[in-house]
Amino acid sequence: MGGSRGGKPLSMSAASLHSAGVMADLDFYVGEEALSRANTHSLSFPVRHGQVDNWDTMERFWQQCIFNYLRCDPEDHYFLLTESPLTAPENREYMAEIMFETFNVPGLYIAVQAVLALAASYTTSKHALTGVVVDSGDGVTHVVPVVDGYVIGSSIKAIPIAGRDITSFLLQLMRERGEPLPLDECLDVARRIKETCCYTCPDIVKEFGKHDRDPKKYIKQWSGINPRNNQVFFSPEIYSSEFTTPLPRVVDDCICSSPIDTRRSLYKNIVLSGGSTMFKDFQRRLQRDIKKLVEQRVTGSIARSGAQEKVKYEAVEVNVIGHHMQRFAVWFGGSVLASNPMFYSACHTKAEYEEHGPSICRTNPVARILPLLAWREEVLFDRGWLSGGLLNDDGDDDGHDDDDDDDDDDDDDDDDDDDDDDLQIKWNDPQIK
Amino acid sequence: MILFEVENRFLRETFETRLRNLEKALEIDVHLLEFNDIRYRLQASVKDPRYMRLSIKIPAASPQVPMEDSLPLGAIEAVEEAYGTLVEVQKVPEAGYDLTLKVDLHQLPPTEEERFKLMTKLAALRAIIMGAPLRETLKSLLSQPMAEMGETEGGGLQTAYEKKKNIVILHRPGEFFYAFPQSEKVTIVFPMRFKDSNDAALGVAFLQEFMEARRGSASSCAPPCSYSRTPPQELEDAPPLEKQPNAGFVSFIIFRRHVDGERLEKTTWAISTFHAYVSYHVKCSKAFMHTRMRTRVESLIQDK
Amino acid sequence: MASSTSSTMRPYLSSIRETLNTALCLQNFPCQEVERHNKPEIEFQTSPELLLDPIIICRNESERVLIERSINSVRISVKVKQADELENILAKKFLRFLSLRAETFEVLRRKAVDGYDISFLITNFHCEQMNKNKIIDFIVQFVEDIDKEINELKLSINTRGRLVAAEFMKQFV
Repeated sequence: MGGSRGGKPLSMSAASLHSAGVMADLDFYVGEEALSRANTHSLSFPVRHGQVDNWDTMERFWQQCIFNYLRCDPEDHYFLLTESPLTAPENREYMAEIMFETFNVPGLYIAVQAVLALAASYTTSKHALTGVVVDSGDGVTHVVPVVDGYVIGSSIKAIPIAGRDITSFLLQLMRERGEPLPLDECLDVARRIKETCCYTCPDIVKEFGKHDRDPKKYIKQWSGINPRNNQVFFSPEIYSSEFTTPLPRVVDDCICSSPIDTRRSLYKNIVLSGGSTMFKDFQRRLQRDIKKLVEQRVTGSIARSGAQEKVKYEAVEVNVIGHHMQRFAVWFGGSVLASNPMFYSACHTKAEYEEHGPSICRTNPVARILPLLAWREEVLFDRGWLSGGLLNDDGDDDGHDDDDDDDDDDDDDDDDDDDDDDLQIKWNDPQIK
Repeated sequence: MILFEVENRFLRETFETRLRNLEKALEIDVHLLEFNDIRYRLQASVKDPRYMRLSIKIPAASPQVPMEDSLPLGAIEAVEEAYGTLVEVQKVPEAGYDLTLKVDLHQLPPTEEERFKLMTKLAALRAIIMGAPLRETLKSLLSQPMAEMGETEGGGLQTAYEKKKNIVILHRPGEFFYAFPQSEKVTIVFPMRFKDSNDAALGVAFLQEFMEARRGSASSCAPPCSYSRTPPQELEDAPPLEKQPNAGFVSFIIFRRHVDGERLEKTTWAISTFHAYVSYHVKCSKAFMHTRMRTRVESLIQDK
Repeated sequence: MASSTSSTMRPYLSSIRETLNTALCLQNFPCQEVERHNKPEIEFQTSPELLLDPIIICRNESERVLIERSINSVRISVKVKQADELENILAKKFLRFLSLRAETFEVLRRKAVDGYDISFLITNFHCEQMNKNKIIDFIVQFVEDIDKEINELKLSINTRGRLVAAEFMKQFV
């Protein structure tokens, strides 16, 4: 749902003593501000595993986003919200109820995150809206096949391992080593280590070998913690005993359960999205492993059919695509979509809502936004995003600054979507640099 | 959050980022939008690293509101007064904007503290520009000879000098409020309009409380406030409204004690964001109602 | 407020309770026109011999309950007090909120009967599945709660308004 991406939209509700009762709901902070007040207020996470868990705090979360951070009047702007795949349609009604009745927004579109992530990856091909999205945030990882903008619901795979689990895995490692960490900061330390030093290695056994040969290389910086990478995704058994299927296998299963005529194009366009896919070499490792799986299967079946020589076999192309907007791919896709002047026509308006009730927001036809997504490349060039303005910045240490840049850019085009993902970005990512 | 901050947080943060990286050339192009249809654009370029440019666009004016160069009266003077020589007003504003300021990064104040203060002030550009006509009007209270501090509400002795024309001040797209300077006081009249009829009803309930609020002991120094569904008599010879209000009229009477020293800025900001304030709180209370309703639905389900 | 409400409220509620008690004597009744069909007769009202006269219980002009009875179903519609514009809006918002969640209540109708704010439809199946007394309790509780809730909402809106105004005024001090 809106704000579900990255489980960090920490918001908090708090009853401070002075305005106990009626106005207590205004004593409310979100994001980093919320974290910093953890000792005077109570923390709550309105979104759990991609689903809104607590509508009261969610509503206040939006209220803070709109009035305190964006400082805009919601009556003037159309809104684009996002939801995770497989969200119940009732939840869309609740979202619409809040948006139209509390905030009086003039129009609303609820997009599926995977579709937006796909739109954000700008591989120039006609397959752009067909692909598999590997979306890994803080709370949950989803593998979602999308064909021509429509999600294939029956093939979606969810993995209960995501950013938060990597953090706690690191914490566990540090505890095992007996690192002297202050109790109240250890989660934060683990998160920083995850964000700054974790990487993906091609082979865990070799990596350990390397480490054994030359431990100094790994130890000097991090006071003895081997940032053992996010091997958790590729060998989940080291972390959890309940879920042991490695990510490449999940992606492969997902594609194999999709309609047969779409599989080739799905393999061709596997798109990464979300903060937990940002580890160094994650993309390369995933691509290599999936390729291996596919090749094994193909050679296996050729061998079984006993017709090695006769079969003309066209190799399956496997592409895992990462790009510099990968971390907030969904937000970025949403921003591109909402920047289009035609976006208005795809929205449900307040008049429609009042006429038919919230049930109209159950469906948000993709067909209406398809032409808009085709439009994206032009915009990207226009805004200098493709030509590398941000590419340069990314390496720089002003990561925070370009966050600002983009979210305002889309306000500027009048369409003013505030998909609240963008809000998260603002305060999730004041990078730990 | 109860009150709106004067400065825009993202403008301030962007400025501060620039300050922290003074030695480097940065490419910044930020578009921002704020309540009541204020737009900003903040630019810094690698080619010309010495300057930063901040442009602002305010809501389009109505014919009833006097403007100069599509800015509120006295805006340029207010900008000059607020920033002094640290900031230069660009002769021709950026295309699509009403005013562009140039900040010379080589001539910043010497201390860190002063620099950040300037940046915070720049992020509050909107308050300076939009508040200009009101600020000038309120200032006239200060120049008047010190009279008794008693409230001479409706005091009939108005000399010809004091019967100055009413002042119309724009605060939202197509909407404005009135200021009537009289001897020792300025009466502010807000025609209140809400887009949504439900909001209007809730708004009326709120506005009635404004009248009551002053009677409370805590805010007896606050300006007297009155509310009526029909136009107050001051409006008789004021320019007609473009959009009819659907939530009545609120008047505040501002005295000299409300504009002394630092209070001038505070009062100006409070008055010019009055509508946004009420509208924000109406929405918050709707969220609050939803919370209550959810609890009630849950308790009903349990009863069943 | 609460005490005075409840003193005039009690006879109103108890007569609703009594009437429902007699009205909710429902039996299974197969449709007369279509074989193997079974539908709430009160919704279709095609066969007058299966219907009883509707009953209206009034507390005052603006608060009343309409109970329409038939052989296998009863329809109960409630009109809620709306003294002023604010109460009107609060009632409208609250009832809309409830009817959106109609399926969780089972007996709540998604649309109210004309002239009323909210309606319930109780069929013989509901009476068989649930305890009849519990259904009656629920309806009576509902009528009582809705009144209370709207009063409380109004009160809290006014309190909020006062606090909001006070906070605004503090800026000038």
